[in-house]
Order: sequence, then structure tokens, then C-alpha cells
Amino acid sequence: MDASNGAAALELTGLRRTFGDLVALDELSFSVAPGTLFGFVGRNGAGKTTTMRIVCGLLAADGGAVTWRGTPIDARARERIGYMPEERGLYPKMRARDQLEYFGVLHGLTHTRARAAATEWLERLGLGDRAGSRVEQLSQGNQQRVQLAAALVHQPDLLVLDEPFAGLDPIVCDLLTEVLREQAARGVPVLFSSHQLELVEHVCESVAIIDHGRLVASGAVDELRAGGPRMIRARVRDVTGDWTAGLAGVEVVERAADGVVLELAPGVDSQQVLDAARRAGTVVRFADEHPTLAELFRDLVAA
Amino acid sequence: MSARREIWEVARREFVERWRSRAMRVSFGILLGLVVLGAVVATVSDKGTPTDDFGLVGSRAVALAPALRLADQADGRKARIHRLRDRAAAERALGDGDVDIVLLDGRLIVEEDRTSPAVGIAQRAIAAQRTVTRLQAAGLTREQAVAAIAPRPQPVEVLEPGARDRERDEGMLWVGMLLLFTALIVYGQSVASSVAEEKSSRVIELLLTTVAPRRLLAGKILGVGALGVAQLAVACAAGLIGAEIAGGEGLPPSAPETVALVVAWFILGFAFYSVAYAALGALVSRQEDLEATTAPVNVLLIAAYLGANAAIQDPDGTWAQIAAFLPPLAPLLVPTRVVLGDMGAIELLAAVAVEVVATILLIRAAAAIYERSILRTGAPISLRSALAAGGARGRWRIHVPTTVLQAVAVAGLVGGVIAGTDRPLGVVLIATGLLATVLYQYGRHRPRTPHG
Repeated sequence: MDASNGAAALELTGLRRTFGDLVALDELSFSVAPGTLFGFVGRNGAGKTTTMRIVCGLLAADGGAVTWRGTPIDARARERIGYMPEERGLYPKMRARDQLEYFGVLHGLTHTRARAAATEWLERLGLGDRAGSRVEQLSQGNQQRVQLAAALVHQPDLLVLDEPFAGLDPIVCDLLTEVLREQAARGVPVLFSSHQLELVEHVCESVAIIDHGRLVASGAVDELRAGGPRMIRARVRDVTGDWTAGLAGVEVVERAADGVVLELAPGVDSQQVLDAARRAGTVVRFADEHPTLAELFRDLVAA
Repeated sequence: MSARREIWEVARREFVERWRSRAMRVSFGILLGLVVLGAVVATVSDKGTPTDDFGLVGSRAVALAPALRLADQADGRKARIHRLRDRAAAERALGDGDVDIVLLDGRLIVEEDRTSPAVGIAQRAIAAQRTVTRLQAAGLTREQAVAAIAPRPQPVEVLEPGARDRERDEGMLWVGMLLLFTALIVYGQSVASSVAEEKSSRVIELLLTTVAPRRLLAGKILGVGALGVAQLAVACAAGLIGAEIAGGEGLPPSAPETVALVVAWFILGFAFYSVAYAALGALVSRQEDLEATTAPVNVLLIAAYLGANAAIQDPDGTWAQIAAFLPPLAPLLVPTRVVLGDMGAIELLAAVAVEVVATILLIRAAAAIYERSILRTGAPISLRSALAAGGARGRWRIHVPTTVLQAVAVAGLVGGVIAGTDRPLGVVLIATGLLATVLYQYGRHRPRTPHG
């Protein structure tokens, strides 16, 4: 595993795919480094599932390339992917452990190893006592756990998860976060899509935001958030009137009970704004304000 | 993972999980019951000697018992004697069907039919008894008297000695075709529902990340097919044992041939039909749509079964001769023609060859349909759109080697000319040759799509 140098493990270059007249992917490029939790964000129909299916070999791209560790991805590399499709799917009548063993074997494990791994994952995910149950007999939440185990049973080198958090109860949600962090720590790149932007912001180190099949932004979450306009959240007590009035290059973007959010034009010294605040009253809060991922997303995608 | 191992693992799961399913066990139970019942009925039904049941009331009637036995024996029948207490008991026995006729004080009583064989036998026995009594009165001993009137059976010349065996061959074949037909429907449908199950449960998307669709399809068909062959073999064995235990004349001489043909043509027929079922199974997204979508193939199989039944009556008719070379009908027609008709080894080989070539072509089409439809969900997909839409972009297309097509074309045309156009075999061979030529030309002129 070439985790040491931080080079891209999975790289998508200029992916194109059309369905009839619909352009689903339009020159989409981004890369995922080893050991990173990578969030893949976009509206419904933006092309997330298409991208993931192309990575997994379920769809052929019309153009562009997917490379894995520097070489074009092939069936051998794909065997090492752990995939969770958006439409969850397991054999309803097959027993949980048998099913996981089967998936493990199809991914190249021996029956003995696959069975051991299946048992291990079921126990880890709290289903040790249900290993012999048919999937249709399990509750929705437990089926989700088996689905997760199916993506992990062969100790994959790459995880591709389509909306893994959708429909999970909070407990499974925490469990999933924990497992994904663990996998990333093992050096596995984890590419997952989600609508829950707060969750992505909380879990991911990097994101790619796509819209209409095109990449809108990608990079480390912190950098993206810091890359927006300079904002300050300030709260001044015992103030009379609007202390921000008359400050050149300062615009109030939000007024709330606990203060104001100001956007500073380039070249405005934040310390002068602070001085103005102190003159007006008692400053109880004065800090840099970064947009949340959700705000960033709305700005980028609505534009 | 190697293609062979992938196919093996898929087949293994299919075999184990199908066997575990209750529906499959019930089907197998029904199949087994059908075979044993059919085999026993076929061997027992019209074999053994016809029997007359006589009810005797009173000592005069009982004295007639030896005469009744003799009279029945002379006719190749068997008498069973029941002693009854009185008229009431006699009427009850007649009413219950326990006896065919009652003899009481020199009178004969029947339930309703005064013309049944038992009436004639009884009349003759009584007459014979009187003659014996008179001869004894005239001075003969009882033995002499009986010998004097004893019937002397004349030898009977049978013009068609094979007809009896043939009748039993027909019975055997009838059971065999029922078994073959049931097995093709049951295991074919099982493939269709297995394909539809993976699609409707969406597990297919998970599978296709690591197994190529063609291997998945191959493994599925091999797994269900292996289960089918195993269960069919058990059913055949059960049928043979059942017929043996039922006794009577035992199995007809054609039994081993019939069993071998049933098993062999199950394999050929299953290969042909299962890919059709698989392709149709891939068109639906819900199990409920399966029945309507697979109906055409079911109808084809039913037609083949009815055709086989017609061919049992007339195995060498022109229709049967041609049908034996039509791939959808051949699995049920060829065994019938071989056992009962005049189909020889060369024609049999030709029929097998036609079936194999047709199956290869069908696999080609079915695999394409399967690959293009298996990830498309929603309303059932029409066959035309499945064949036209390039969902998979030719990534997994099967190529029949052009050399195979060339060989089939040449062999068909040459063989057809040698066999002569006045025989159905010749016509079929030439048609096959022409079809192979067309396919070869079609394949040559179409640009190959690059692999994705």
C-alpha cells in the first residue's frame, strides 16, 4: 500500500457518460488519497451513482479513465473493492452468515477464511446471535448491518459506498462512522456519497461536489471552507444603535439574537472592525466564521 | 479469481440454496410421486389375469366351486370363491362390489349386468356339473366324466408377437415423457425465478462488481441443471424400483434405453430451455411479472409434450420426423422416435447436433439479453428493446467462433445433399446449413465493438 507518499490511490480523469441525450458525467475528474474518508456530494441526478458504478465496473464510461494505484482499473482490482449499492440488496432467503461467506468467496477468499470473516463481522456489528437467520427475518436495521458486512467481509483495498448513511438509525450511524474511520486508518481510501452534509463535514477529510455531471469543487474540507469570503461573527453587548454602520467594506450578511455575521471585503483589516466594536460596547465574541459545507454547497450548486 | 472457480462457486450456491428451498422440495416430491405412480400403473394396469368373484350360498352352490374354477381356467381367467351366509349377505356383497355374481339354490343373481363374463362362466360351470352327474349315472367314474368334458386348449397363433411389448414400451415412454416434461418446466422455471430473484432483490448489483454476468449465468444454469439431473436420476431409479416391486410382467425390454434417453435429453433440453428462461427472467423486476413473461416458453414446452404424446401413437409420421429436428420440440420427440419409431443412430446424432447448434445460438442471444437487462429495473422490458439497447455496450458479448459456423454450414449442406431432399433429415440438414451460412455472413460484416 502506497499510503506513505499520499499520492492518489483512486484517480478519475475526464469521465464522460451519456444516457441517450442526457449527459450524466461531463469530464469529471478527482482523486482519492489512501486512507482518506472522501465525501461525494451532489444533488439527486448529479451523477454520483453513475460515477460509482463506473468505478465498480457496472457501467462503461464513454470516455475518460479510472486508475487504481497508477494503472487502469481492471477486474482484478475491482475484486478488491468493497461496494454498497444505493439500492440495498441481499438474498432474502439466504442465511446471513452463508451469504457473507458467499460474497467473501466471490471476492477471492477461501471458504474457511470467508466463513471466519463473516462470523467476525457479524459479531463486530452486533449480529453474532443472528448469523443463522435468513435475511428476510431480520429487522431493517439489522439488514443494513449485514449489507455493511457484505462490503467489508473480504477486507477490501477500496471502499465505494453509495449513500451508506441513508435510512440508518443513529446507533448504526455511529457504528458505520466508527468502522469507516477504522478502515481509513488501515490505509483504505473510502469514497462515499451522501446527502447529509453535516455528517459529511463531520466525518470526511476531503470532498468532491458535483453538479450536472461536472465537478464544482474538490479538496480538503477545511480548505474549502476557508476558501470562501472572509467572515466574522461578532457579538457586542450594551450597544446602542448599529455599530457596523459606517464601516467601509463591511457587509452584514446575518443578524441573529447572538450577534451578527459580517463579510469583509478584500483589504479590510479585521482589527479595525474589532476597534469599532469595542468603541460601541462590550465585545463578548469576535471570531473568524467559516461557511458550513451545507452553505458552501448551496452557494456552489445554486449558482 | 479464475472463470472456472467463479462459475463453480455460483453453481454451488445455486445447488445448495435451491435444494434448501421448500418450493423445490415440494416439486421434487411431486415429481417422485408421479414417477413411482406412473411406473406402477404402467406395469400393473393391464397385466395379470382377469378375475371373477363368485358368491356361493348353500351347499349346492358350494359344490359348484371346482366346476367354476375349471370353467374360468379354461378361459384363461381366475375364479375367487366367497362363501356367503344367506341372501341378505349375498345382496350386500353384490351391492358393495365384493362379488360379481351370487349362486343361490341353483339361481344366479347379479347386481345389474346380466351379460358380464361371470354370468357366462357360471352358466357353463352349472351345465358342466350336470353333464358330469349324468355321465357318472351312466357308469363312468367321476374322474373319467371330468376328463371327458375337460376343454382341450388349442394353440393360438399370434400374428404380431411384438405388439404386447410395444404396448408396454408405450406405457414406459408415456411415463418417461411426462417426467421429462415436468422436469424441464420445473427446473427451467427455477432458473427464471433465480434470475428474477437476484434482480428483484437488487443483490445483482453487488454480484456484478466481482462476477462477470456471463459467468453468473453459466454458474446458475449449471447449478440448477446439476440439481435437476441428480433429482431426475433419483426419480428414474425410484420409478424402476417401484415397477420392480409392483411385480407383474416387470419392465419392458426398452426400459434402459428409455431411461438413458430421458436423462440425456433432459441435459440437452435443459441447456436449450434454461437459457431462454434465464433471458426472460432477466426482463422482469418483480417475481409477480415472471409468470406472464415466461408464458411463451411454457407454451412451447407444452406443445412439445403434446407433440410427443401424438408421436407415441404415430412415431414415424412425417410430422414426428420433422419435429424431431426442431430444437424446441426435439427433447421430447427424439426419445419417442428412437424407442417406438425408426429413428436410427445417424438421425439421432444429427438431431443432437441440431439441438447443440441451436443451443449455442440461443445462449448467444440469451446472454446478450441477460447482460443488457439485468441492471435495468422498472416495468418488464420488452425483448426487442433488450436486444436493441446497448446497455452493456457489447462488453460481454459471446462470440461463436466463425470456424464453428463454417463447419456447421459445410456439414449441413453436404450432409443434406447426401441424405437427399426427399427425406426430412436431408431437408433439415440443408436448412441448418443455410442458417449457419447466413449467421456467418452476418457476423463477418458487422463491426466488432471495442471492449469497454
